[in-house]
Amino acid sequence: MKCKSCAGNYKTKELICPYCGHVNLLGKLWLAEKSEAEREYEKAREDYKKRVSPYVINRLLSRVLLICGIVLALFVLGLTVVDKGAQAYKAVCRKTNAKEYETMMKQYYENRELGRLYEYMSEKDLFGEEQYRCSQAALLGYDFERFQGYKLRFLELPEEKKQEDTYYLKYSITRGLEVYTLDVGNYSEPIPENEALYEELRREVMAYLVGTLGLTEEEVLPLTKESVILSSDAEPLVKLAKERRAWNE
Amino acid sequence: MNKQSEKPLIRWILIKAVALVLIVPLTLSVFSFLWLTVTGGDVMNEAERRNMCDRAYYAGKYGELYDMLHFDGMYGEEFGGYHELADAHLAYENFLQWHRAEKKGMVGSAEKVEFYYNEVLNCAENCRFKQNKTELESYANKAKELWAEDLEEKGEI
Repeated sequence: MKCKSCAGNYKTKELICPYCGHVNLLGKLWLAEKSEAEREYEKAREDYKKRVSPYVINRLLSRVLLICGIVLALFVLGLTVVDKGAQAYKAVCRKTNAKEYETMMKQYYENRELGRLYEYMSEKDLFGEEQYRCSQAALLGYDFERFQGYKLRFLELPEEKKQEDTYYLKYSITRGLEVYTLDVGNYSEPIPENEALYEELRREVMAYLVGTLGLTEEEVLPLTKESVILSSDAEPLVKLAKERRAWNE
Repeated sequence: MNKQSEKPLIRWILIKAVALVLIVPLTLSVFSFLWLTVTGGDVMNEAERRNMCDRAYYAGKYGELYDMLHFDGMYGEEFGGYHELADAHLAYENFLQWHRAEKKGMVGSAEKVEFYYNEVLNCAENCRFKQNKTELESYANKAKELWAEDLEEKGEI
């Protein structure tokens, strides 16, 4: 282009005339437009990057976490409301039907139907300090029924299966010892009202260990001193029982 | 965007990924629990329970029957027949148990032997469900034989 001042020829993109230094407005305009174009290009590049990882992944993770958090919060809230409602309903039922519940529990207790006592008390949510005697008896009864179940399952195995058994014999001994040591969680404190029950159940357990398994009281009693009886504690007794095969006598 | 400014972002992504690994299984468990609650998924209905009892009953596995009835809380009248047989089986096994205990000299076992002997006979005499009659009488006969042997040993017959 021609300079307006000195008529010299130079490129349009020059900012000033190289001959006389006159300012070239066209050159400035071109530069401004170029900067604008470059800015738009950079912006387009940035926008493109934001459409792909890691921005997308980050946004996706945030949304999934939010949804999961809301679901969990609603669930916990709902569960709390339902649980409180159920507890309130059961408390009302306990007050209005107190006599009936008392009669049923007494009947099950005296008939030594301790498994049914456990089921009944669980269903009506009757466990508690005010029903300590029956609560303890029900829990003991539950353990005792499990003991009987394992015992019977073991005894009906064919002889070769008895020798191979690694489950029923061991758990019949462990459960029996839990009954013997009154290991029933929050209700493990002995009370005079249940003395006769303890004696009865202990004798049944001992009769099985001594009579059917051929163990001696000296072999069994040390385990009854343990505060917690693990299934591994019963292993030596299992071995002795299998050697002696007293159930065949 | 340069690598330097991406580092905090990647750190956040890792933290969120770890949180998801913990929270997503929990959320899926919640849905699974709700689904099972609504459909009564893993709760056995009465027909399934009777099926299980029948299998043990007809296989002659009365110990298994006893265990199932008590473990699953099957105490309704509809399970009366199974209970009758399972209880008789238990009474007979307890009779044998105390019998062996008596031989080993356990104190007070004689009364218990007699108690369970009478229990076994009672079960046979008061049989309510006729499909159990044969089995209950079989227990009673075996108990009587053993009782008679004991009396013979003691010189009482």
